[in-house]
Amino acid sequence: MTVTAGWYLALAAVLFVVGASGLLLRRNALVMFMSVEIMLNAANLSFVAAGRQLGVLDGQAAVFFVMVVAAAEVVVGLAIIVTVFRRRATASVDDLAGLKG
Amino acid sequence: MVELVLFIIFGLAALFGAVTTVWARNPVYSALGLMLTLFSVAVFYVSNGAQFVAAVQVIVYAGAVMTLFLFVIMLVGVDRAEDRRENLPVQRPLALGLLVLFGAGVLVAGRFAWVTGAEGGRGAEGTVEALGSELFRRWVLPFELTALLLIIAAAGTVALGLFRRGEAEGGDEGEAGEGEEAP
Amino acid sequence: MNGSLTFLSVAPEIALAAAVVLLLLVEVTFKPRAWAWAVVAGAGLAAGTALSAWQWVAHRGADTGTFWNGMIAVDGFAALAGLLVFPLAGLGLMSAWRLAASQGRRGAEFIALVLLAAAGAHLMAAAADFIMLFIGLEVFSLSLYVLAGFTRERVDADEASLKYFLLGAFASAVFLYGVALVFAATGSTTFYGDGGIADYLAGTVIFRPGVLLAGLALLLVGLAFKVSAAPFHVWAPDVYQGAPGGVTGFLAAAAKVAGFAALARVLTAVLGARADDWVPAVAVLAAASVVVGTLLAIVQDDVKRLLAYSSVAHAGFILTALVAGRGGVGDMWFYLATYAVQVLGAFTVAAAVSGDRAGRSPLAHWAGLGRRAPWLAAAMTLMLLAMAGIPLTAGFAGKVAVFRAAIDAGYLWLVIVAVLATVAGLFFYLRVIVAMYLASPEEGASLPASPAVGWGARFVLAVAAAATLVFGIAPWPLLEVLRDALPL
Repeated sequence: MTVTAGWYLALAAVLFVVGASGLLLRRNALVMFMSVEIMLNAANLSFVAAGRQLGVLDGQAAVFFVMVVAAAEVVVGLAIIVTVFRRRATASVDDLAGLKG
Repeated sequence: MVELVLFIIFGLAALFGAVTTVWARNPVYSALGLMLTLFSVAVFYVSNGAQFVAAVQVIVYAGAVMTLFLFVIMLVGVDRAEDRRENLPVQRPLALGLLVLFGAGVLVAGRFAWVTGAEGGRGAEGTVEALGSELFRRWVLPFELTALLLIIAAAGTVALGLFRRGEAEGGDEGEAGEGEEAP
Repeated sequence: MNGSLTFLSVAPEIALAAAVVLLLLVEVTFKPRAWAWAVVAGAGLAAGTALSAWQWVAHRGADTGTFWNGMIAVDGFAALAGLLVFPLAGLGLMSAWRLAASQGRRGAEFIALVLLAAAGAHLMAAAADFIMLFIGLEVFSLSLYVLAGFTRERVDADEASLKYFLLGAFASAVFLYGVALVFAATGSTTFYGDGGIADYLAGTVIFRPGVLLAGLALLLVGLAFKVSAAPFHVWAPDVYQGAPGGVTGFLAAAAKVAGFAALARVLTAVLGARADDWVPAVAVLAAASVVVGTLLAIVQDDVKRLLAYSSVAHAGFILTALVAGRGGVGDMWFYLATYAVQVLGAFTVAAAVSGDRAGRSPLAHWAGLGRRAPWLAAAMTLMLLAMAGIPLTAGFAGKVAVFRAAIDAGYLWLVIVAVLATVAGLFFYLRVIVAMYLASPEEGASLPASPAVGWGARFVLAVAAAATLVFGIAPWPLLEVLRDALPL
């Protein structure tokens, strides 16, 4: 049995769903953010696997840019989380209930 | 054959890591699970001929980014058990159901055909030379524009992190008080 | 496609990036007074606007093209986005000036982030490749996440920032996975040219389009989050209410412009060949946004939340233009441009009434505003009437334009839903107006100090009022011009 690109794409789809469900299930901002990272990785794996079958390097170039973006996003996101923590000593989103209506 | 074995081992590892990330009560376990997933994905990059990207994945993602995550987890503190009571009784299960349906739909669609684009490029061996010349020729504009992202990361972090004296404690004026105290 | 254009094609971004770098360098080296920031930011935005105007004059209609190996498009669409976004950023800065100046040395970062957000928004409109679009989207979004939490005098600003960040990052990831699936299905991330997505979809019949359709759906969901269309609007009210008053106007206006610019190009130009697949989805999104936004706005007691839900409804109205496909793009621009100015004006008044740094703006703050500050109340009334779609305001002309586009496309049911929502929407807009003119402040209620309006905010309000009236009374010239603002 040869492992085709489809196998990787299927695995990536499952990873994407797991990551997205983490965002829906969890209330800890850090864990939610890590779930987003799983989703990004699922997208990256799809890019690489599809690029391999298509025979182009575009997928890998895309992954490179996604990694740069993700790094910048992590820096800003963790800065925001730390800011919230400094004021409230919690990273739980449910404790942030000042805004509702 | 080797690829099949690798796929099975690291596919299970990636899934296990992802589920751990989502499900672990302790954020440190979540971070470790995420690391496992990232590493497994790096293995898949190699088996798909993306050596350079795999190296970047291990060094930048599993290395630097995860260190940052663990650092913040330690800073924020992990000892508080998370409250998992549901306070959105309808929306969240509904969204979960739709998500699972979507995932199943993609898998079914993929069973017929994942890749429908025109095949037959010049090969996708992602060595440093190949990817480097691709990045600096065809993708040079986005490459330069990532500089904007780095400026934002720097300026944004400075703006968020710069506390004026006395601001950190009790600058709230009692507004929006609920949920202020951690139990 | 002569070589000389390659740098001119990204000249607006270069101008803004130069202004940002200059601003940050001057700030750390000389620690100048606040007016120096204004000079640098103004120069950068003026240069960006002028270069976009030049692109508009020279490169719409026939003389368009993509540059940098198909990464960026120079066409009427991108040029118009620049002509809209850069002045909007300038107005947003004027509206937020007191806030920025009150932040001490952090003010320079505030201004730099607004300029970067504007550059990102223009990139989103001009991108001719999904990876470029993704980078533009992130440049834009990351700046706004930080801006939404800029003051730390209050808890809500942190909260707004964190919610915006988490949901925005989620939306970006969804969008990116959509890009990955479209890449698998079409073999490219580039929009135009040989082997580009538009070319491939126009020339090839895909027998198993499941993966393509899934990717298309994810792209739609990701961008619907950014423009806060229902049911992906949950972040908007919290973010608009929590963010400091001075920023909210720019946040609301820019997010709509950038998101819809990206959406319009992706849908009409890139996926135009699959219009039969996405038009029904867009129609459902539009109807849902109009209904949900209107119904939830009715029950709000906070003016900023009310405006947020009204912005959800407006996202629906703008989506209504897109069901007409390419023919609706001009109408979309008209609605988008006039609405962006209105919402900026309305939030500028809210910032004056409740304070630059305050998040909340309960209806009680607005009681008796007609006597306390007649000009502010008049400006707010005009903005609200325009949003409600009263004739002789730009809001009415915009609604007529998008409804006509949808009827031409055969979506009568959508127009009926939208018209009903418009009528119901009158109720909550009038509620604010009634509070301003007929209610008197409660005894002993702690009103914010008498509304302080800076010169910047006055200018913003004057521009917003003038634009709303001029394009409301004579919309045809602008509508005619906007017919040229089509994507390549």
